[in-house]
Amino acid sequence: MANEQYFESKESDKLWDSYFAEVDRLTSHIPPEQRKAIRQELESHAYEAFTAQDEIQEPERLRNALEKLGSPELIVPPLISEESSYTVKTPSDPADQLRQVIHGVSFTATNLVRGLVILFLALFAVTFFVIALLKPFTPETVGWFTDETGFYAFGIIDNSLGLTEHLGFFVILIALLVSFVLFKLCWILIRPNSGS
Amino acid sequence: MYLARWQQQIRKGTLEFLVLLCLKEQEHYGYSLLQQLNTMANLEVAEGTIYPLLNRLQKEAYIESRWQIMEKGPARKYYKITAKGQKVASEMYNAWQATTESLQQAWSNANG
Repeated sequence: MANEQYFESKESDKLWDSYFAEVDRLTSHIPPEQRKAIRQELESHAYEAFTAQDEIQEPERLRNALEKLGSPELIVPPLISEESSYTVKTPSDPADQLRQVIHGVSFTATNLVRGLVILFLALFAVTFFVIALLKPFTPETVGWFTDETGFYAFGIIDNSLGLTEHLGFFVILIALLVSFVLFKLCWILIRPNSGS
Repeated sequence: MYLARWQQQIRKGTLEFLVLLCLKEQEHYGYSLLQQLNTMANLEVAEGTIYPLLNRLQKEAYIESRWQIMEKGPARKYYKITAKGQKVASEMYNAWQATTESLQQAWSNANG
């Protein structure tokens, strides 16, 4: 939803759109009606604060108004927690009530799954980081190992069988790279827009 | 410093009452309500505070709202007090009076 040409300068348009894109992102998990109401209320406030100032350039006025309103990260969560008045009332239609329950359950389930995925990715990321750290100290037990039967292992092992390690110190680079990619994935899952 | 914080806490505690009083005078949209609070009670309220508060009051049916389409700019959401809100405002005023009297009594006793 772009601004409705409230401004004359492109810089102001950009400021406005960027602020409200963030508002939209932070409200993406709530019902559309409530989402729209939050955005409209904040738009109204920002615009009134913008028009209340004079004697300075338009983008500066808008920047001041948005700064005074507060960053979306600060202002949106309390609005969501007080959400029910935005959705006005609990729907009386049983079908709507059921939809609301399903929406709530699916939102919780999605967050739960996402949390577990993040946890596993973070654990693997830490493991690879530890592999990279340990390699210089115990080179004979850290790396990529095989034996003549085709058995192989990657990571930190008890090398009493005398397996052959193939990667040498190159394993540090690989482990750090994998660790970085996994951490980046975690970050993207925690903050969906950070990757763009 | 300590006194300033204490005063701030008292003002915060009376914010709901003051919002109801403002809306009793006339309906307001969020921005104009903040201006009015500043004028009426010399109260600087953060934007991040006022909207959750308005939502809470609306949830309790002490106030109600309507959207007003504007010729230029986004629509405004006007809030006004309900009969239930007026009743609560009166009760709050009575409670405030009782508290003030208790404080005066305590002050008199302490300095008596």
